[in-house]
Amino acid sequence: MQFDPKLIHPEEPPLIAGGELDLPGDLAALGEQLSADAAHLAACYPAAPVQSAAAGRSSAWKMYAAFVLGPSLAVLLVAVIVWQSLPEQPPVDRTAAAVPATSPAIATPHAGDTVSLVELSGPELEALLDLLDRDPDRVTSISF
Amino acid sequence: MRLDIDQTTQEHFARIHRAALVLCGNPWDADDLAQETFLVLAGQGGAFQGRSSIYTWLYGILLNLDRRERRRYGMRRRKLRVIWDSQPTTSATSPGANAAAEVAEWKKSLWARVANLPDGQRQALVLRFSEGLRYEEIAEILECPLGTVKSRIFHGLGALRRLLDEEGEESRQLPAFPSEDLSHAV
Repeated sequence: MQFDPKLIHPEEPPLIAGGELDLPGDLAALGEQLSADAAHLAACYPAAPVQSAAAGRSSAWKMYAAFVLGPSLAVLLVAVIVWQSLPEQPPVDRTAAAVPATSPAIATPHAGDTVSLVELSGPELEALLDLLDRDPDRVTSISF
Repeated sequence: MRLDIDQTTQEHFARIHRAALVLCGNPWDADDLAQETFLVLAGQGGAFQGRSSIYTWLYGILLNLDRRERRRYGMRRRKLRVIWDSQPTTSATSPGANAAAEVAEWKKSLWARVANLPDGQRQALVLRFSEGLRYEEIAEILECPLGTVKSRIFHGLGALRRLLDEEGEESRQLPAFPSEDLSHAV
């Protein structure tokens, strides 16, 4: 069976000589009202100013700098202040520190090395006496 | 043809935003729609051949995005209706998150009635009466013959006239203040 639809074409719009729509008065008034409403809406809600992509990139860089460099500078500043507020350490005894150690924790003086007991702290003095006890063969002399 | 995206955006954003506002009914969705239009432009700017004006090309993108958004919204509403019909519980006291939010100025305007017209008529009316485009430009954007554009505008205005007439009859039948008790006046 052949498909033969009965198409109902809508009413052709009335046209004037130039091909322009010849709208009846009420429809023309509706068209004008639509234009006025659109203009009113656009005036009520104007488009926000557009930021160009280049400006966007610039502001993104500024935000990056503010969020990354700001805290970094703050941390650096705090570190400097804390370092400056620390009490000064007593000078380290280079002679004792240069002595090779038999134990990884405590350095023991070589035979012939001189250690000033006055400059040793309490725990260091105790450790030295323990080492001397552990190694009785070592020739040790104490001078005042 | 190489497009300067920044310059094009600066030149045409306002007109695309205006058309989006008329189509959506609120400035928030209009912002999104207009920005999405220019995102498509940034992504597909190389596809522009320069055979037509850049703004007719932009209107084409805008109308495609609007159609897609309306389809999505219609689908969401249908799904919600199925869920709602299957679970008739308490009545809602406030509109849901998916309810369309239109500004009062738009609701009061004729564009709120135009939103009820078929897509072809609605878009033709927007391009003609909001954007002031020529019939030839509208035909190019909607990719249809010139006669079809004129027919859509003519019949769109006629349908709008009928909608307003129906609204007028309904408002004449309804009492102005339905909650007011007039029994004492009888």
